Amino acid sequence: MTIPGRLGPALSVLKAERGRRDLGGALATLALLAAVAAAPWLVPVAALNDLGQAVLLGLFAIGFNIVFKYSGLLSFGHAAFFGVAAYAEALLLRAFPAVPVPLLILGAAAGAGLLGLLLGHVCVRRTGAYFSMTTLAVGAFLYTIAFKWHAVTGGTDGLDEFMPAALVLLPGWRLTNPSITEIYELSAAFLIPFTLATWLILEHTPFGNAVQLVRQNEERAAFLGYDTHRVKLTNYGLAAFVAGIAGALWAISNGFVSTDSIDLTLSTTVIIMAFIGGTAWFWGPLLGSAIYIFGSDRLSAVTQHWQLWMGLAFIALVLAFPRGIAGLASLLASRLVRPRDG
Amino acid sequence: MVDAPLLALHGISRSFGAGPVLDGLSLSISAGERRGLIGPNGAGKTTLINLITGKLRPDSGRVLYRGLDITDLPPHRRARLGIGRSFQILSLFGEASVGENIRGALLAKHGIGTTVARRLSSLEPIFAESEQIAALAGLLPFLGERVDTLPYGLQRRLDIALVTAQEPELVILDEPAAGLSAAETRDLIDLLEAIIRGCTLILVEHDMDVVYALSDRITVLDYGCVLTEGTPAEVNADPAVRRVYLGEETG
Ligand SMILES: Nc1ncnc2c1ncn2[C@@H]1O[C@H](COP(=O)(O)OP(=O)(O)O)[C@@H](O)[C@H]1O
Ligand SMILES: [Mg+2]
Repeated sequence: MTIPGRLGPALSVLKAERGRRDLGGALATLALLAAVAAAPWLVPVAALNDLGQAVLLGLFAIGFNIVFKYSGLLSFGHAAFFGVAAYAEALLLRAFPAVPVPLLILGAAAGAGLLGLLLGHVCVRRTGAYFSMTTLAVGAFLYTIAFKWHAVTGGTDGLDEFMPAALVLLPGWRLTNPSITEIYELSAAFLIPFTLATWLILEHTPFGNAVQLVRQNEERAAFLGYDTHRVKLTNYGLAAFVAGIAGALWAISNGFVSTDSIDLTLSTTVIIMAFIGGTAWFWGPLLGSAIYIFGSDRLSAVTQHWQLWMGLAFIALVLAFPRGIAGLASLLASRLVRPRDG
Repeated sequence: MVDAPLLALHGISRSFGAGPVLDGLSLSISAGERRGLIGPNGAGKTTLINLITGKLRPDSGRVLYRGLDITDLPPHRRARLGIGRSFQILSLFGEASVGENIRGALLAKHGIGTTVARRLSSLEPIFAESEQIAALAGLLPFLGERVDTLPYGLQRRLDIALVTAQEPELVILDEPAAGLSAAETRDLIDLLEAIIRGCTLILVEHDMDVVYALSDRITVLDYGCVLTEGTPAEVNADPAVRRVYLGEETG
């Protein structure tokens, strides 16, 4: 087979195309993170509470989607990692109120990440429905522990009064009675760097590339020399860590942790959020969480059957836009840029 | 160690429920050799490849590579030791582009397949190398195409390109000409000639033109045992081989 002479140009077109896609993704990412940072000044004070919830559940949903989008595995028990970190954060704050809280958050999240690596040894060896069922069983098991182990978790009463009067941010920098905005800023200060780093790892490094190759064809990846189990396991641990950061911040932002933070309802809510926003885009779940939280808030003001309407809206959305809101937006954007071949 | 074989199989048996597919098979391949492996359908050729590359474990027997017992190593460890294989039934990264497929193989070969310390787009040498391999395999015009949209013949070439990118010491090809037209098969022989230079080759193939063009020794498998082994001329003249294999058309 001979190589035609027009190849040089073909290659540079290819690179330009790829570069433009990378640039588009990077700009959308920066815009979204700028919006997260500026949000307290953009939304009315009454919405600050919802905003904090949306951002933390969005971070959690990003964690869920790390496994779904990049490894192609649907977890029905991801609240295990969110919940374990939330409990751990509450217990750590109670035990070490003088230790800077960022360290405690990292400790709680690292615990969730390690738990992910441990449980992942069992879970990620399975694929498809078997993976989902295993995560469901693990999630139910951890929920049962939280529910039964009253001495540590407070059982159905949950844990409260663990917030110290002054939150130590750094030695010498305390927040006394932190306001909603201050807690939000603490959340954003974790969300922005950690999600950005995760996005860079999964979209722009050989590791992220390996995770996606393993998703597409685990067998071939293995025969090319990839330790496929380890790749999936590491990604699962990363997803557990990200969910753990969200859970730890959730404990701080609510000042209360109960089995609501670890139950199967939360595991499914986060799936719904991710699908609303669009699982094909790294940041889709964050959008989905905001839409879910603000949507259910509006709906619940109008009708007490808001969960029914929310469910119907979700079904309609999944049927009409299987790639979620982010998929719809990228479709519209590509039509705007290139109207002729939409 | 000069005469030690690169690959040695000792008394390999493997069955799938019913009878044994491989029955106490022994085989030894020296470095630099090009070995054709033929036999009727169901003789156990693919099973043998799976045992050498780690997709399967034998019920009994050992697999030695460079004198090292690799019988229980997982596939990725064997790949890292220098064993590369292609697939009778295509096994590619269908949602990725041709370039991304080749790049995936190259990243693993260079030992940076799972690092987080590099940006993908900064790996210019890898891009350059992917383009060279694509050019060699006649895939350069399709570098940006999604693999599952490519015609079958090009997907076959990509399968070979991935093995090429691995730069294995031992190349194992499982029916690389399966499903190709006569013209495509001729192109394939040229491509294989180019890429196996300096490698050790195990070639399973039904198309005897390909086998004769590329092998310097041939092993004939039948019912899980070695029926005979020799130069292409010896095998071609062997009456037993003519009876079980060459005489009848491949099924
Ligand atoms: N994974 C498997 N499970 C069950 N039977 C198998 C499996 N792999 C191969 N076989 C059987 O082993 C025999 C040899 O198959 P194979 O090695 O593919 O033969 P060849 O490649 O020589 O045509 C066939 O009868 C096939 O049905
Ligand atoms: Mg076969």
